[in-house]
Amino acid sequence: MKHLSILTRASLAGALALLAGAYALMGGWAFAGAVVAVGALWAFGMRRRAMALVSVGLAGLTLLAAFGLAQGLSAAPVLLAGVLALAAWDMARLLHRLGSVEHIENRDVLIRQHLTQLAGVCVAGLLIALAASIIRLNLSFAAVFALGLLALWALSRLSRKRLPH
Amino acid sequence: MTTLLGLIFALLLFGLAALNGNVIALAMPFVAYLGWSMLRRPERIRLSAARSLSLDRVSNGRPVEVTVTLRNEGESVVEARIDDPIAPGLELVEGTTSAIATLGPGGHVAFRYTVRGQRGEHRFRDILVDVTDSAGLFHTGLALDARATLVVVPTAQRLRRINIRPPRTRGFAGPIPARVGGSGIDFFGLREYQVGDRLRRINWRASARHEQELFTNDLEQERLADVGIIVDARDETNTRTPNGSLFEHSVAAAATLADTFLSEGNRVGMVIYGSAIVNVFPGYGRVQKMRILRALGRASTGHNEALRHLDRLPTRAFPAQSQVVFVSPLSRDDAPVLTRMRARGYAVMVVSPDPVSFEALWLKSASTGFDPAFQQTAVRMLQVERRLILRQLRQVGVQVVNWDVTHPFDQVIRDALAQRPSHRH
Repeated sequence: MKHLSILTRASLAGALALLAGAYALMGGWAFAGAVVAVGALWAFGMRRRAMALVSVGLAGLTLLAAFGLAQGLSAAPVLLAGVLALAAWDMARLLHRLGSVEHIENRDVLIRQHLTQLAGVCVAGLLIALAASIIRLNLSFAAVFALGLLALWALSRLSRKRLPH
Repeated sequence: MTTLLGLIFALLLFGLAALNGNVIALAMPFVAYLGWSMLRRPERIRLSAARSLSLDRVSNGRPVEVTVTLRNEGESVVEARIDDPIAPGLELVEGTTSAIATLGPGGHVAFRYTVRGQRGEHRFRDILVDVTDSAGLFHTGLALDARATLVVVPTAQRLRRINIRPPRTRGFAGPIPARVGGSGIDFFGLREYQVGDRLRRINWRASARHEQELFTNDLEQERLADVGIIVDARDETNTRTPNGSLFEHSVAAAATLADTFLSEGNRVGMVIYGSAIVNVFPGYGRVQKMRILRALGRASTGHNEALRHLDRLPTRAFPAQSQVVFVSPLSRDDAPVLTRMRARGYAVMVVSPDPVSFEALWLKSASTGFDPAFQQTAVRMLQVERRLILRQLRQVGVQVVNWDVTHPFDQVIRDALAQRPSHRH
């Protein structure tokens, strides 16, 4: 559990450093400050075991990352920051789940399996994201619109199929 | 999952609106994470749960170990959080009532905890299982049937012999004087000598007064008796204070009396008279003791307008002219019914936990806002009224044990029944 906690903090620190650094390099000190503030909120939420604050932290960091990308920040560090933030969010939730009970069957195995799978997903997600940021395709507006609608429809179906917890 | 879906929606919309591929690319790790979570979500969950208690009947305050087992009977790997809600009235002593486990096909997890409880029937309900995917995004809640009941029975004290003298006894040898001459210990009377009488039993002093006749000492036979215990569980009579209920004392007394009478070999039955009439038919021995303790463990006070007075007491549950023990704080309407029972030939004993001293004790420590002098007067009036009821009962031949519950029951009953009840019936 201690290692998991350290890993979570390290992931969060990495995400904050990358995003704040990217903004700082572009001279966006106010946004860098905002990133640090959101990180502080996240850390506070983790300390208080308030998962709502952790989720707000993830949303804040992701939206700041998206805004940075729209402003022309370098894509690679921002995408990596996004992946690290996602990993930190996942691990914070795992810590919260495990911390809510005393008896955990094969705790070390459970954590190891989870982290292995998470690492795989994060690497795959990062690679897809990097590929998506590099590969350029010329699509007509209609095709983009159709793909967007398809994505939104799929996500809507998913959200309706499973009630969010 | 709301956060994740919201973020993906927001990034896609923002990316489309800004015509920025990098923003849409930022959504890809979140989509991959969601996809991984969906792939890992358990399908066709088949779980079974079992709960076992180390004992299903224990005496007051004794710990019981509960073992909860969850088994995965499906074919997919399941990550589950198990919660076993403790029955109300029980207190967790040791261990944990929840666990998290990853169960492969055929796998199982078991955990133990120890509880302790006050007298009563405690029902364990369903075991709650929350099955999730690895990321904890998709949840399926299950309530698995694993009901169990724990009965915490009152602790019975061991008393020395209780002197009772019912008009009618049973045919088997026992400790109760039977009002019938024969072999025994105590002198019963004189009768004419019969062939076969032992020489040592001839009463020479009485025989000397007659020229041609010899007289023999007759001894009183000792036999088993039928004892019926009635426990008063009416809300109207059982005082309740923040310190507890007087009914608990009645239950403890009934358990002790039942144990004592049964251990002497008597046949004992019981009626609990409250919101309903609970009848334990007469019986002997350890099995009957268990039956009575179990009924007392489940007993609780209640109100039933039809049973508000003792008129509906099922006296026919007890054999005619047997011993009846009425355990009750008593109300002023009870005396006529008990008098009628005496008139019908029952030997009646009343064991009465004193509600006035019980409530007065609490009033002393509590701040009720009443004038202490007023309180004292009220207590005195109630005590006088109670003394009158008890005297009325004694006058009709009812044995009365007035129990101030601050004193131990064994001491009170020993002092109250130190003298054998008279022959007069």
